Amino acid sequence: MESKSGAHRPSPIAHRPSLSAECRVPRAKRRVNDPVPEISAPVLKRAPAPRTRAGGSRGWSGLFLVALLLCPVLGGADEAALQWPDDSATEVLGLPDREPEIANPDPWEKMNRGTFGFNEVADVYVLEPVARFWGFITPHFFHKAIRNFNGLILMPTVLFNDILQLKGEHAMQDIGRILVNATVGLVGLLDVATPMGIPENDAGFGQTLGYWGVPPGPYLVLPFFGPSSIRGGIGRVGDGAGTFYFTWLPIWATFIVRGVDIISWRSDHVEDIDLTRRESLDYYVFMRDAYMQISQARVDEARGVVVTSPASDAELYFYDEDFDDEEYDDENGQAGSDDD
Amino acid sequence: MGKPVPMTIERPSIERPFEGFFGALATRSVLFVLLLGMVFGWGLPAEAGDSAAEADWAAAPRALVAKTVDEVLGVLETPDLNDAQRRAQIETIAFSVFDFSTTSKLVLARNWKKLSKPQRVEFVEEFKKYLSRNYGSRFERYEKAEVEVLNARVEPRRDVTVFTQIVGSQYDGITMNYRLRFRQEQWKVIDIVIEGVSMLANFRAQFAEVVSREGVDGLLEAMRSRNADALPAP
Repeated sequence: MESKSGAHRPSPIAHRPSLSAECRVPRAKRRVNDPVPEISAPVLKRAPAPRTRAGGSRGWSGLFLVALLLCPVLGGADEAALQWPDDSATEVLGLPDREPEIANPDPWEKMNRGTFGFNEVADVYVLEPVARFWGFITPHFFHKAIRNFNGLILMPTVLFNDILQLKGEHAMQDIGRILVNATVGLVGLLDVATPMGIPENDAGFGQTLGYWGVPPGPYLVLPFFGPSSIRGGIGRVGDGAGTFYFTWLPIWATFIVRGVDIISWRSDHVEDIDLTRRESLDYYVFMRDAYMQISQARVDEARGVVVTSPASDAELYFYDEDFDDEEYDDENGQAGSDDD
Repeated sequence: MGKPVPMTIERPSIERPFEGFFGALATRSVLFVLLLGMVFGWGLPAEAGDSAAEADWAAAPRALVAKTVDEVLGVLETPDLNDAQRRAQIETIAFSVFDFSTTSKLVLARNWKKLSKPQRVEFVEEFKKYLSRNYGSRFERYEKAEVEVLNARVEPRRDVTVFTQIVGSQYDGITMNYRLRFRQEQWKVIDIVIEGVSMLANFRAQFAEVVSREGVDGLLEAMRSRNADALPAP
């Protein structure tokens, strides 16, 4: 529902993915044999070799100017350059040769763990039993109807955010969904629009903030509402205000629909949550990391960042000489095939 | 909260700010928004497809993912198998496409170097079991589903991400992207990204937390005891 966090993608680096993605449009004008421009020190420590990547890029308009300025530096994917550098030459790719230091995503961990524990208790003793009971007495199609109905109530907020994100096509889809589902869909109980090919968007205010470059800030667990960040929390407030402003139901009815939807959702995910809670080595860290990754992914999606930046890529899938550990591989064969 | 006075103050203050511009937006929202939609509704050009060389490079891993997905769905749809047999078969398939050695190194990150040689071997084994526990039991609640294998993309250092999406079942619409690396003349999966969440990154965060609190021995011990627990019945 919220948006990103660059927390495990340190911020100076985090903006690079979008930029290199933005570069795709102007880059097309470059010739195959153009020399790769020199890199000035403050922008990148090492010159990236030209690389070719697939994938689209949309939503670049907001950063067009910056993109234009940086494109000669970061862009450059040419067919001629598709002779891959060999594995050891990570430097050529502009990758750090060591795992980068990762900024602490959770400076308020102590407080957050406290709130998280409180939420867990509230979930285990209130929400989960209620949800189990609810799941027991209601059929699944009813959950679906509630979900659709709530989705229609949220739609104007989504539309508003899609407009703020300059997503014309998405905004038109949102309007289409409202018009179709509010009428043919029996005031939102049925989702007729999706089978008609009008996809459901889920833009939120936290995502919108991220789209316009607001950083997520520290991770923050909200009482009752769960994992969030500073930006995510503001996003929640924004979405809540939007929902209550745009709803055509009385406020109390909106509350009830929302509440029932949450209980239905919880009852549909009893097993998944049980399993994750039981099996993760640290459930708090699991939730924190998952939240941050999802919100980052949502902002990336809004910005049309399809291409991973070398930096964030290296952070997760980094390459280190030591790391290859040929000795280990020689002794154990290739893992994955060394079993039975 | 109990006093009636603040209520009377708060009410109008919530509604007032929206009267001007936002009020107009709400009352004429459809027209207004149609207009906005037209203004912003330019079609951003879709990107051209993969270049030929990239497509070549990505073809093999994409085929591998498609083949593996078919095999797994085949096992899930074989009617006369019990949970244990089904699980064993899926495990065999999964173990053959996963590069546990690379995944273990990436998951442990700098902590990998803190492990002694026998500890490394042990960790890889325990991690394998742990993954099997984590994901194996999810297959027991399988409902009829299909997996659409979408495009594939070449990443830095020639890794390939294969994009897939689940169609049908309770997980309808979920995206699962597989990252593969070509190592020792073989394509192997090194990460699964579900709805934007990399399993590798998530495990790394958790393991790092355990290591920072209890050291690498503590981590191995935690995994050992976790894996020794019986799985509760689903």
